[in-house]
Amino acid sequence: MVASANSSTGGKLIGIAPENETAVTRLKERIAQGRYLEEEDRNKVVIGEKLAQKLKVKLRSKIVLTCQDTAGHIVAGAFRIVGIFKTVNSSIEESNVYVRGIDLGQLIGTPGQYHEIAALVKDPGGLDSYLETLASLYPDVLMESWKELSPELGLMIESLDQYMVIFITIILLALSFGIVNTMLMAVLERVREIGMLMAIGMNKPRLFGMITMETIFLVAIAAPIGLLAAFLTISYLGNTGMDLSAVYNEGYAAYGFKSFIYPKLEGIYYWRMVAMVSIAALAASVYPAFTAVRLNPVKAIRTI
Amino acid sequence: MSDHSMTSEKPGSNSQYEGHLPDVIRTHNLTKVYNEGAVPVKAVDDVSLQVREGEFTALVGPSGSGKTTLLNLIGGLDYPTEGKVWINEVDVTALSKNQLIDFRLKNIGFVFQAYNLVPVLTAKENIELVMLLQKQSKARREQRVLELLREVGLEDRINNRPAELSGGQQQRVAVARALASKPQFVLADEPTANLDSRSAENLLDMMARLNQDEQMTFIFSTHDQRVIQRAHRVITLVDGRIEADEWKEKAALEDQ
Repeated sequence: MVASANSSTGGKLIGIAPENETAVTRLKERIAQGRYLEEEDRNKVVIGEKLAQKLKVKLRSKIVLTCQDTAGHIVAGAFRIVGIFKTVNSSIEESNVYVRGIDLGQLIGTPGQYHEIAALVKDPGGLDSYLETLASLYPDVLMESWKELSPELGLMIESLDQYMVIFITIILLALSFGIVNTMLMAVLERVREIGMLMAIGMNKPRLFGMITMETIFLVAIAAPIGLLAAFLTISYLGNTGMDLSAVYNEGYAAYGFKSFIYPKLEGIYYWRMVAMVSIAALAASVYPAFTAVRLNPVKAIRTI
Repeated sequence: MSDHSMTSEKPGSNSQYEGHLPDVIRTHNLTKVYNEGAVPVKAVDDVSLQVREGEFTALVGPSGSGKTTLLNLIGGLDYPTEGKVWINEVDVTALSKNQLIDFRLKNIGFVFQAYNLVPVLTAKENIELVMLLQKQSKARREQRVLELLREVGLEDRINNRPAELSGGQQQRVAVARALASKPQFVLADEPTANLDSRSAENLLDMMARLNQDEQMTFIFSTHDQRVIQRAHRVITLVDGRIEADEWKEKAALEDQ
């Protein structure tokens, strides 16, 4: 329990090694007022802005933290606020209370002991092999990845991937319809010309190939322009950020996301997009090409 | 075979055109019916006809008499409802659509009333289109295009697009395109209909010269008196049937 002179509320008391903590969390960067915990601090605390508002406390205010020790006794300690952090995750900001691990150990009777060590893996793909290596080195220690610790986050990311597939499918369908429409117009506007070409000896495979090639040229011109526009937009917004607070502020915050997002797209996605667009374009060229080869040259030539 | 089937049988036929030249086009009981369902219209009705190599023939008749349909059937652009067409003893009515396209590419040059040039291509590119389809070498194409442009008097218009040419010039490009691959036959559907007198005369002079020099067989559908006067043979169609088939005396042609 966290109590001030004015109010009290439930909270999550977390003892950290201040120096080491910076390697795995961004708590230090999130300090909005005051400062981050230092090694020589004694009974100092960092709390979130929302919690501070709830407790009606400010920097250098004193709060009392009450919890159970390892024997189940109620223990309490007075701590002075040295820093107030602000994050996009409202639940963290409202409940987490950070003190030095040493101070917490003394309070609950486990001086110098830690029960959790967090590690940040730079390459997400190497997470499983990293865990296996650690597990073989320390067989008595329970090792869990973020997916086990926070399965809902893993599920959400997987869902996002699925949503992405659905969005891309819809976009590619729209693109295909656009290409079919454009190429069909290109064919129907030139019925007479196509009739003439068939009359003078352009056979169906050639005609089919001609319409397909026109589609490929269309995509070959449009796709790089689109990709360049996407690259420039993403690069620009990746630096300046996109402020979605007007529409999604609270919704994002509830999930622990910022409403200010910085889009980023890895190179591989551009190539995938080129491949998908090319395949969609080729598929979309089939119908206009079939329409062209099915024209009757006699009727086509008479078309006004 | 109908009364009009054999050129040699026609009164007034002209021996100097018959000679020993072979028949290159034969049609037998050719019939084309449109709207075979509710109200059938016989555009060509039981036409049997023979055309010899090197003929300069006009198909004439009022609008709707079946001139263009007959020309399309002879040229393998359309299939008859009944009857047969042989070109160089090949039954073109038995060919598949793709075989017909290849046949046209190798044997027939078409000239259309509305020129039908590709608007985004230059005169040179329009002319070499057929040769490109025939996969002729670039050097051969270049040489032939220059030759033809000189022939049709448009060597200074080589890089002009159709929109930059007059109607007469466009039709001359269309004729050059039809002749590019040196086809055995040139079928022209009202080639002079959109041309002024001078352009029409120039065009006819050119085609008559090619007919004489290269023994190309020309068949025109027309109701233009200028063409009819220059034709060696005039076949009159009425309601899809051959009404008359007349040969002109060579002397009379030379007087024109």
